[in-house]
Amino acid sequence: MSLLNEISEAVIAGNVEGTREKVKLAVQQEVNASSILNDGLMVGINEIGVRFGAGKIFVPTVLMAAKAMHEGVEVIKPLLESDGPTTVGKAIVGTVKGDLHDIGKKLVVLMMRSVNIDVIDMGSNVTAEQFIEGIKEHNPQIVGLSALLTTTMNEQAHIIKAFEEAGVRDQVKVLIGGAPVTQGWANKINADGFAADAASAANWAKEYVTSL
Amino acid sequence: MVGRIKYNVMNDTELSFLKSEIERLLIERGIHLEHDEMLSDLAELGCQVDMETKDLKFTKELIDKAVKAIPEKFTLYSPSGTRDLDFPNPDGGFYSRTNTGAPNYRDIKGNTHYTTLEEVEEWYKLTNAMENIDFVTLPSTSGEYVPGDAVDVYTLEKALKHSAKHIWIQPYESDNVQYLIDMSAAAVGGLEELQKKPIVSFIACSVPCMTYKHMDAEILYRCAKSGIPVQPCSLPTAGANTPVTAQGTAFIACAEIMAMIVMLELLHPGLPVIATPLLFSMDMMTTYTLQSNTEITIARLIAMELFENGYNIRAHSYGTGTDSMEMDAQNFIERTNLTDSMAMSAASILGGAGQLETAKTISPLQLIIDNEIFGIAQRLRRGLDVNIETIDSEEIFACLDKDPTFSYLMSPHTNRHFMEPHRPDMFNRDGAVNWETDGCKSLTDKALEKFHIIMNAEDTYELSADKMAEVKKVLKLANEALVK
Repeated sequence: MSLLNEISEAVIAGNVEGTREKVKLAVQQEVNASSILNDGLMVGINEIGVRFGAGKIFVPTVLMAAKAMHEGVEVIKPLLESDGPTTVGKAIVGTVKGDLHDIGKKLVVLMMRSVNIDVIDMGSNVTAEQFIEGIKEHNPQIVGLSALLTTTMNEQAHIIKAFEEAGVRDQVKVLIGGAPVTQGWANKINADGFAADAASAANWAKEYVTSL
Repeated sequence: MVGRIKYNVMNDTELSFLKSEIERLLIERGIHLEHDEMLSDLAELGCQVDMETKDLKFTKELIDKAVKAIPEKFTLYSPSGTRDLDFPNPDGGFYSRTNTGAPNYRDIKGNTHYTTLEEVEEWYKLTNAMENIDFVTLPSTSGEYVPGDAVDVYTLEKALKHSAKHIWIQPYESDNVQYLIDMSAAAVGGLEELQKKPIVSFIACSVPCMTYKHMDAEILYRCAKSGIPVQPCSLPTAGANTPVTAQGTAFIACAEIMAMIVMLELLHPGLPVIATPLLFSMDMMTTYTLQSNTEITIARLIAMELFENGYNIRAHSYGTGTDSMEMDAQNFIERTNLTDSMAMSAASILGGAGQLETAKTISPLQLIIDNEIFGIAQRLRRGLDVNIETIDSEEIFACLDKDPTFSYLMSPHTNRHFMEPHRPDMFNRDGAVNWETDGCKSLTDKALEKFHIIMNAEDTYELSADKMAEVKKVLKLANEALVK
């Protein structure tokens, strides 16, 4: 098995330490950093995505694989910087104002990171103004708005309107989710997408950013 | 003998271990409480409080003092006065309640949508007629139909107007808590009357691990100050915000509830409290939160045993529910399995009537069927006495059956006992011929018939006009203050 294959397998196994050590070894052997990323780490994480999509593995396995991949990326990051970012896109995600629930939001953050999206977790009870500041500061392609209550889902609509008024609506795609949220609600409030669960949110985000 | 059948899911060693670990957690790690006024009061009462970090620790002496202050007997009253709930339940049974927190309503045509105020009224007309449902919650009326900042006060107005049964209130905003108390007081002629006969109790929830946000702390604090019963609740999701093991999740939930109970009893010794662990688990493939995972059902039994047997504190958890979207086979397998298991626990209250889709949807037809399921479960818990009379020794030893004219159908023993077997109203108890003649009705068909009978009947309860006027005055004030 080649060293790049071993890196892929270490990612698939969620072997954080093993991935780091094998990537270090590859660097020592002067394997091109882009090749380590694309032919080693990414091959592993893509295989994880395929297995998860087929219902063959569980979420903790996905998250451990993602962690292993990130450890590997950290090793080669200094060598890759001249080649551009190591993530495929950027998102800011938060639970809307008035809502303190964050289990689902945290899962979305983890799952988006597992598909190599740089995610800024804005926390819970996040106001429209804070989201707008987040857009200006981080320049994401995607904003994720989570709401668990029928009383707070209206805030998703309010935030989207606030984006329009602040002139930042066209800069981002807005993805919404949460227990009472539906595709119908997403259509009604002019959101760009609705995700029923964390994995769907990650897939939606990945598809969007890779289509750019 | 009633209330005799109980599962013991922990041995004595396990029960003692769980108690000691919970108390150690309260003493060594403590809690995070986002309520300055409450922190100050609890500091004065002896808790170790860091006002900057808002962290609080208890001592063993304080825990023991609080547990000792919990009333052994208390009553949750009903607005109608006809369904008062004495704790412990004198006949050894459990009390039951409707589901709380569901955003969706599935009407009798099968359409699912956000809950309207009209459907809230429909719900209370139904619950008044359900003989095996003992108290009610507030359906989550949509912010599309009433002001989003005041959903709970608008829904409570309907509950106070229509519900003959005790009302369990789940506030949605810190600022709303006092108005909810004031509305309830207005419905009975003032706070003093409400304290004497609480027709409402409140739910306050922790956030794992050991954190209490301002809104929930405010509920605890205002209820303690006003002397209103609380059913402190923890809603952890195993694997998401608590350990993936059901036992670990039960441990944290029970510790969080214990902390709330200790705080309530320190602030208001003798306040009626009911421990309410509502445990969930996360499916590790879909990440969906589940209500009906098998291990989490056992964890609920553990939690009930801990509070009821370990601390002699009345306890409350889910008694029915499903992760199914529909009233299908999965639904009925899950809810009857859960109901029967929980009926065999030491629980004083079982909840969740009417819910589908992991408590996210309520259904009037499911509520009517749950009424039957709870009836069966109550009968199961009561068990059967075994003695000379119940085994019919006298007739058998007397060889009465050898008499050619003897028939069990007409025996004195049958005459004394034939009314005892539980007979669910809507279940088929007839042969195929009559069933076909009667239109081959399913249980759901019969539930629909019952729905129409109830909805076409006169209201059985409505709050008096003068009291309702007082409630509306508070509602008006709440609307002015809360709706932005």
